[in-house]
Amino acid sequence: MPPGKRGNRDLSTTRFASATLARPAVTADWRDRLRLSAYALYRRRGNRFAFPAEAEMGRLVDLIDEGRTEQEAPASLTRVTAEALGGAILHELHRAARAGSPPESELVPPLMYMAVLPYAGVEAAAEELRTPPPPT
Amino acid sequence: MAVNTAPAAVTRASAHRDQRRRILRAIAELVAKRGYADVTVELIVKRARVSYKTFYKHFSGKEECFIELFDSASGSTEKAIRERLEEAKGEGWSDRVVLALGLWIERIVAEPLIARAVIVEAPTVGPSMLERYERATKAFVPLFREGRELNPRGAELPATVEDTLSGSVFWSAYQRLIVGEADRLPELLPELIELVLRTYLGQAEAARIARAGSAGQPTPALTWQFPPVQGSIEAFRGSTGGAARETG
Repeated sequence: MPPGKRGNRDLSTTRFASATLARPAVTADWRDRLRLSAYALYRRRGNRFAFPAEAEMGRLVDLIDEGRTEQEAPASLTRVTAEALGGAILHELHRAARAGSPPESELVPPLMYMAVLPYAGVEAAAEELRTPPPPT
Repeated sequence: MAVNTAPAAVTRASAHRDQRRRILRAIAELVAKRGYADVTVELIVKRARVSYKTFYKHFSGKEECFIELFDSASGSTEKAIRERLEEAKGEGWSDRVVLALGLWIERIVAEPLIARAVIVEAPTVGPSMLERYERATKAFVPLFREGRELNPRGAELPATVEDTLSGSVFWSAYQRLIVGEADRLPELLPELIELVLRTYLGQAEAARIARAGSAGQPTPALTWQFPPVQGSIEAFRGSTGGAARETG
């Protein structure tokens, strides 16, 4: 990556990403932490998040990739799946934040469905569609 | 008179096309190397070996030029995939998914600099690119959506599943391009195929098809719209880390 211009974009979000993605670590459950992070990313929206920064993406990918430790996770999964999903999910969160819609209760559960499905299976993913947002 | 003017008109038209191709190739290579913000019209005309007058005959400025690059590159890729899928109309859905993803990745690997400019740098251009970029990230949505018919619970899947899956494929390429590892994308293909198919066919079937499908991928003949400026690709090797290859 050319270091010059993109650096500014990273600086604007790195501190934010550290805060939002680190806070949910108080809970041990992977799905809970992932869900809390997704909501936190959406709730802390603003103009400075015009596009996902690499640092922010890296942290979300790390968190999704922890899904490989789930009992049901297939051995064939590598970090590639987390990278792919993490980028797409973050992009959707940013896009929705920019547009101001849909509301988080409609946006985040389907994204959680997709994030959980490869690691914990269909039933766990479907549970995410019924899980209400955490309190603000 | 008419006999004499026809060949001249063809020559002018082909020269015009060649200039345009050189300009587009130049902006792609420059943006891939320097980032969009650091590219100027001066750099573009030097690399393309055209005059300012010629540049402005084709484009009103850098942004319009880049938008043309984006539209041409993404449009030609989508067209190539559409045509390939048309040829494979009789194949099953999962085979067509394998085909489409394989072809998409082949094109990125064949032209990592154009891919980097279009996939990684385009979002830094500004609001004029956002809608186009969104559309590009969702290019696979219609194809993926056909998979719902194969899932007994397809109707219950969240409406945005295909957006996320198409975006996942796109962002996987983004993350390889940004670290200069476009040439590694073919290795990732089986897992990307599995990621897409799993949602519709379940884990075991998706894994089976991904393994078989990626092993049997043909290498399609690749043609991009912008022939390289002579000697220009070599200069970028190492700066992006991508394994650039020249094509006709």
